Amino acid sequence: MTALAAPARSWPLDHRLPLLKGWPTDDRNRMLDLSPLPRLGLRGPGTSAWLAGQGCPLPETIHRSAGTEGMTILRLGAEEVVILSDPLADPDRLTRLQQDWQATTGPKGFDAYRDEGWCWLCLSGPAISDALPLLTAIDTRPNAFGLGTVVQTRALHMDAVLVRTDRGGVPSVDILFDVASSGFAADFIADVLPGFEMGRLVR
Amino acid sequence: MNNRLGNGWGSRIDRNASMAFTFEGRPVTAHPGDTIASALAANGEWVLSRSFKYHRPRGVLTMAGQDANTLVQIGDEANVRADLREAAQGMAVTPLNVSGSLRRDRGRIIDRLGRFLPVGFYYRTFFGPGKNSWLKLWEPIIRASAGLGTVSLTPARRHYAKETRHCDLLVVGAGPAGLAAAITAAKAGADVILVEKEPELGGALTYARFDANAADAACKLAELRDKAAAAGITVLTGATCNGRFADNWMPVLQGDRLIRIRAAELVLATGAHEQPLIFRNNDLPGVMLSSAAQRLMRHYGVRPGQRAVVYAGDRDGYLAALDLDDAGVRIAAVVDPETEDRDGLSDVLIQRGLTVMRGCRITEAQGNRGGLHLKSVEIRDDNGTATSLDCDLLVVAGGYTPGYQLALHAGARLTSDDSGTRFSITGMPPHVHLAGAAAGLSDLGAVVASGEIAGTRAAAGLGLLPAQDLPAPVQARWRRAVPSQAHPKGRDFVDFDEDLQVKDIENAIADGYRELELIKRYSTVGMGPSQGRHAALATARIVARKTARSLAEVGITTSRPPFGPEKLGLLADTTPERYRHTALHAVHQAAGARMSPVGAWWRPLAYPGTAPMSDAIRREIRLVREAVGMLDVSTLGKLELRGKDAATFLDRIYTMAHARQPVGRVRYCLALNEMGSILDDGVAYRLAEDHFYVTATTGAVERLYAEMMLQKTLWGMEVDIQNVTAAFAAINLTGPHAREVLQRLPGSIDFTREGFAYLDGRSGELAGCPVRAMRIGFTGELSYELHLPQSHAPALWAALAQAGAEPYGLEASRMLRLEKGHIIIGQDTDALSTPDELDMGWALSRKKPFHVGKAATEQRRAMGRKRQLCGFVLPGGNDAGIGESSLVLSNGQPIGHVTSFGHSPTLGKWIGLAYAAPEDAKPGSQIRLRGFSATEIKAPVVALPFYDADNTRQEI
Repeated sequence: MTALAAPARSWPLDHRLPLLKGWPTDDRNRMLDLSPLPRLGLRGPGTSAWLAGQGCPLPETIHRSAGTEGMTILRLGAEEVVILSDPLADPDRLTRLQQDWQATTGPKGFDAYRDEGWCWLCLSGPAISDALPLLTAIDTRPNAFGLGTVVQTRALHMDAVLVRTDRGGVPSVDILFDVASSGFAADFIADVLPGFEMGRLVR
Repeated sequence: MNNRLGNGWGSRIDRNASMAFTFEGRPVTAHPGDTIASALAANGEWVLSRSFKYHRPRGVLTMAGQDANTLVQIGDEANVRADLREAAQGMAVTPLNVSGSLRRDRGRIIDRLGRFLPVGFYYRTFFGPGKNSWLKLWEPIIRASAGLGTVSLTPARRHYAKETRHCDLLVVGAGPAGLAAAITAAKAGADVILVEKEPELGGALTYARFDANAADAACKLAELRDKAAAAGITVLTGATCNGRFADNWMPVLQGDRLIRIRAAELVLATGAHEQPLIFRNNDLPGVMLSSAAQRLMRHYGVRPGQRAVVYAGDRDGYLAALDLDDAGVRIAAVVDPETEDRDGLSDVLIQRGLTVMRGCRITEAQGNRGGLHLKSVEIRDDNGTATSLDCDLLVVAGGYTPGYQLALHAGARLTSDDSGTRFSITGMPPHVHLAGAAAGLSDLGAVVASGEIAGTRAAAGLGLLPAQDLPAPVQARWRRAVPSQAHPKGRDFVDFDEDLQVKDIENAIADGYRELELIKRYSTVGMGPSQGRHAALATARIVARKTARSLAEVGITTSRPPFGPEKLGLLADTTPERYRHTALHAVHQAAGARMSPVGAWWRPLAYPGTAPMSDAIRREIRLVREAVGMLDVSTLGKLELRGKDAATFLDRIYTMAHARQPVGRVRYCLALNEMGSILDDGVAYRLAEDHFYVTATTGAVERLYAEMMLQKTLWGMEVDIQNVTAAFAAINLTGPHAREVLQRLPGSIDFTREGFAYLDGRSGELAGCPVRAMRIGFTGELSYELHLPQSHAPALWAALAQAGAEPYGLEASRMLRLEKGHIIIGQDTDALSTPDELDMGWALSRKKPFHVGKAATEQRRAMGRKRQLCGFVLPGGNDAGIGESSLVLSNGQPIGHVTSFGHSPTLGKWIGLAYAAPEDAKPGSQIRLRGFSATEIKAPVVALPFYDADNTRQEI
């Protein structure tokens, strides 16, 4: 039997975007592909109770996010969340959470496969407020789409989840959408936001 | 010729720089900030185009893009408004509607034939002399000579942008009223967007003096601009608000950008449109509105003429005369139709040495040779005494209509008094406010005050200010206007765009059309590029006069979006065509696959390399039949069903029994709709008591998922249903050596024949990748469908390749499944196909009391079948040109069609599936097929499957 190399995971934009060594510290306008970074999606009965039992602060209302221990928890429904690792922090907490979830045998919600089914892009930079109206028809003014706001809507001409993150004090928005449309999304953003540099991060 | 004024004039141009463009091949110099029309005027070129019907020379009328006289062509861009478009270095500008040259246009002969072209003549002519004269003679002539700009069939690529914005308040128009409204609301805390179609803020304050002392307007302009800059207002200049739709949804056009704006409150400060005067030859170049002359001077530093006559139909005529005098233009006379001095400005002019002729009107303008420019005007007093004055400029202040269009889009009504001098717009909906000249005001103080009130009302509507009982804006005296009178010799144009004269409107009435809407459609008045801005009121007056009705009774034709011209590029969907790629897309491309769209997905048809496609497909079919191939089936629909009611739910949705399906087994799924027609098919793998992984077809998964979500809600069942199509990739590994390939890879799954039987499902690890493996059959060979998280797919594909599998594509797959007699939903089924028609009664559980479509299936069975899907072969070659969609005939009539067809390299013959009459569809019978060459043949019906009837190969 032939010895095989350890399998690596692949993402649609791997061949297209340059790999960055770390989170950029300047404030240039950027689109970053964060798809390879750890995330966990849970849905269904038991989700909120299980998270509470793990000491994770669930946002009180739907369409809000909360940050804790290197994670950003987006509440998409009464019993649906997606948890994004913070690219600026250590992902250990999320990794442990995933392991604990696997090990739990009681009610804990269902794996929503958000670590596979969604592309995860981050748009950041001073031009965000002018960029968002080109991508989505929702009201993206700060008073309507402020820090911590989650919107499930249409963006990039498809269903998408948007969350205002403003990481490191730089205006930024994370967009989650169909992973099979990653190439289309990158084409669209390159077309309407030609001044945005593109790159990708891995864990 | 240089018509430039000195310093102090031309606020928009940069005299320190120059550029050059061409007009009809002639060089024209311009300054940055010039429009094409202003640069041409500065160079003494006053003729810009030829009119639509009579090919009369036309020039500057409004200098505001409100007329069609200035439409030109720039390269492949048609119908550009020369009085709005900035000049640019190297532009090649050409006039419209010209045969030959602009000055010696061959079409000008038509002007002499006017008597043969009365209103509506085209309804009565062009029918002879022969029966087909219209199609063969007249239509080609008219088509060649009609239209304005030329559309290029190879246009340069342009980029159009679209964006969506939201605001608290949108103010349309940045004249004094609009600025005041925006400033007031912004100070109260509103998020304001101010839209102005000109390149700078100020509206009429940028060119009009508003009073004898021009300094007051200049001061007010500076004050409002400073306040606006400090108020944090978002300003869009060079932007036209092109309509108002429900809930203040507004399209704003800014160059090649469409900005869709949703505003909580809307202020319309859209100003007023100055009206031309009707007299003989009122269309000559050199005849222009007073605001046009003022724009030429103040904006572009262009002298509009050397010697002027000014028609002061209202106060603005006197003010324009003062401007002309300040610019050094000689004024032959100011003509005022009123006998009394109603404006208090007569003395000011007289003190300057200007002549004011009272109680007089303009009756005719005369042109120079060729009618290319004005040379004199005829003036008559109330006694009919005529005076002729030489001039090359006639400035007309003919009164105004309010900028009512957007208000009418919002559902308001425009009414006027009987003289058509005082207008009111009523019935404004909530959250829409009117201000300034659009509200009938003219006094600068009143205009500004009305803007402040509108801004306050808007802020109150936003909850930023307390609701107040605000005083109505001061209703200053509106401008007067003189009724139009027909000239006995005609050429007194009511509608410049359509070349319609007073007598044309009168003749339309004489032809029996009394109502304004019918007159409009019969005569085409108001249907040109100006959309009735200068014709609507005059037409209504003529109709009122001729039909002995009041103006109020006649009304004015309504206005609908768009307000102004829109490029198709702004309206078109310019987004890239949506596409979806599987996780293996890059792998297929690297392997030289020929990719093809399947809906939004892209799939490999085959991997031809340098070989012809047909050879590649045959090779891939042989690969699967003799060795092992792998196909990317990641586009298959995939659904996760989890929860305590998952099994019961599946039992209800699908036709087969799933409630007692053992864990670890895979079962075929057939879904029907309520009509008993086939909706979709797939397989269900039971991973646990309360967990099913269900596949569906690529094309139907969205529909099926929506149906499941609906039924789950209606039945109130506890089952979580998730569409995970994109989250999981899938690889179909098939061929007699498939098992060996899998056993070469490290993993936790027992792939032995005993350990993994046909229709088993196993979850575990394979080559380091988590997989759900199902042993099912589609090709008729030993097959495994490997589903795994999509990010792992390239690694597994590479591992399988290293273990001996080779890729095959969709074309080979289609033939392989056809040889095995498997249907493709949507190809071999349609909206009416029932399981009985497909001999799929075996898929209908007889024990279940209910599944979706059960009752309808039984009812339709009782009604009998009209058609049956069957397999057929061609006895020899395919000379008849049989293909998919070929008709199946019975007693000479179409009864069905061929759904799948192709040459089977495995069997060495042409095979297919077709709908035929039930009595013909039995194995051993024959069906009659009509090929695409209209040849009919008989084809033997055979039993399905065509290949491996005993299923020995797929169950090894």
